[in-house]
Amino acid sequence: MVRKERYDYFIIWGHGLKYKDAIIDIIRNTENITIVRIVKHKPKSIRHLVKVVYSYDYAPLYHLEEKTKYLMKTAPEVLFVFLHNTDACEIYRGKGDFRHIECERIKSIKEEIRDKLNEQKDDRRTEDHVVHASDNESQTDYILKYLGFKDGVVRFKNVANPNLSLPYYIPKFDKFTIRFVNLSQLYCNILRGTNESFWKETLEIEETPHFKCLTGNIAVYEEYLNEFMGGPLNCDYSVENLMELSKHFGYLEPPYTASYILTHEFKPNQYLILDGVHRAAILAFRTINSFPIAVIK
Amino acid sequence: MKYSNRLDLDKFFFNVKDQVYVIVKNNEDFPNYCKGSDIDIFCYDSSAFAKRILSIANSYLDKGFEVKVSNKGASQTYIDFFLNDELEFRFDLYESLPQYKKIHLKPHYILSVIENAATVEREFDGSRYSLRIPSIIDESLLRYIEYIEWYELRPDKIKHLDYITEKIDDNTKAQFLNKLHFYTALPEFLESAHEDKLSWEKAESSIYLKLKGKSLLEICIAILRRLKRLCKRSYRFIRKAGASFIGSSTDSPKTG
Repeated sequence: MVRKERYDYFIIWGHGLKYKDAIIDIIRNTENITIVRIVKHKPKSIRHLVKVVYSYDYAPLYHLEEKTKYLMKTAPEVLFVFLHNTDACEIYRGKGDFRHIECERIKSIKEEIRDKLNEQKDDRRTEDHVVHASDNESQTDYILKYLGFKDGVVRFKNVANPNLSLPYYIPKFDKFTIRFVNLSQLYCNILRGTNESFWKETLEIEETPHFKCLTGNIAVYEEYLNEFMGGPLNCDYSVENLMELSKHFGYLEPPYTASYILTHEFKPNQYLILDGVHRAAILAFRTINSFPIAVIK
Repeated sequence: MKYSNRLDLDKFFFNVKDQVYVIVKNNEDFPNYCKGSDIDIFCYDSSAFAKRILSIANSYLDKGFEVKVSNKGASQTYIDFFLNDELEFRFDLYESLPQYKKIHLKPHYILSVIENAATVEREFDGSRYSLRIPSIIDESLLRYIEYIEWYELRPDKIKHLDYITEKIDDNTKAQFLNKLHFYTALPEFLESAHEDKLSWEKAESSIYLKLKGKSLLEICIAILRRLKRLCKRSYRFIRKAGASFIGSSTDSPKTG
């Protein structure tokens, strides 16, 4: 059987943002779903955003206007959660002109979130939905382009180098070297400032919020994520994720034998981490002082 | 011959035992190898193969090895093991056939080589595994191609012909020739391309001889004279063609 992969998204509306951690947790803990990007968005007007989001919907316009009336009163700030759906269970829904394809898995996550977190009245869930989700990949593509990512979902399909396991946002490269280095040779860029106005500072691993979190100073890492998540930090990072990784992580052990910490040699024998700060922090925390890394020019 | 053998090739090939591949031009001394040598491998999924090689490579890094990986286009990958900045060994992975200049090889021949692979039983760490090598027919065919491609520059490639005469007997000769004729062709364009090249070379040398020793002014005057002659000739041609056209239209029968 051929598994169908696709990219979907959830939008957490302004009135649902107070539940964002719980919502992301539900999405994250679903089988065959990987969060690939989280984007905070402040639209010029919520009316315009609603129009954009529902412009690819299958329901008739008059129905949508009625259905989305409650959104006009919500705060003009939303969170988009983009995800890789590695086993889409697509089925047809609706009748006549409104017949369309949906993924049952996405629908069930959406309903679970709405059941738990939509406002309740008379012991019943209201239809003031805290989240909306895509029906198909073309809607995800459209929203990404609306947010300014001109490649749309193609960006998520980027393979930086076929011989390594790397996230989509690393640009393509043809050559790399695998080298054994000491922890003291590794550096990483850490964000400073605020979500709106930030800069990068190059630090040793032991100075990062990631390492401090592992040593028990969770608040530093939590503050770091709260400030930058959805903006310059757009992967699915969380304290729980880091702690979980730290418990079970084995660097370059199967099936992650090609998941090298990726670096760039920014000075002779000094390497700046491009991917793998969390893994380097865990290795440092375990006092593993030398290990292999991948180096690109 | 002095072997290096700092890398245990059995360890690498044991780790790719579930991959679909074939070692091209298998060295009969395997797993022995000399420093700086390489091994050519045809495979369906070079990135999966490369990842398996790298997972073993990790165990050599703390011994001072460095591994450089380069993708040459979409279908070829080098995995080079360096020790003290000197090449120790190269895995050369191909997902499609390399381009040959002197012989045309059908691209899907690579599938036939992989699918018809023979196996050599080997052992690593007390476990048996199969090393995939080309069948005698494919090995001979690949060596034949290698010989054709390089014999002008590399006289040592005669060793491939020696291999073929040794391995291909009367029973396998027909099979070898059938496969050779089916998958290869002499590039037809070679002769015409050669002629084209010759005619260009001829034209270039004649122009050079005409212009040799002349100043820029003289060259410009020559070009202008040439253009003038060309204009005169074109004018005469147009006049002639116009006259014949008018003549033909007056000769035609009038209608209506």
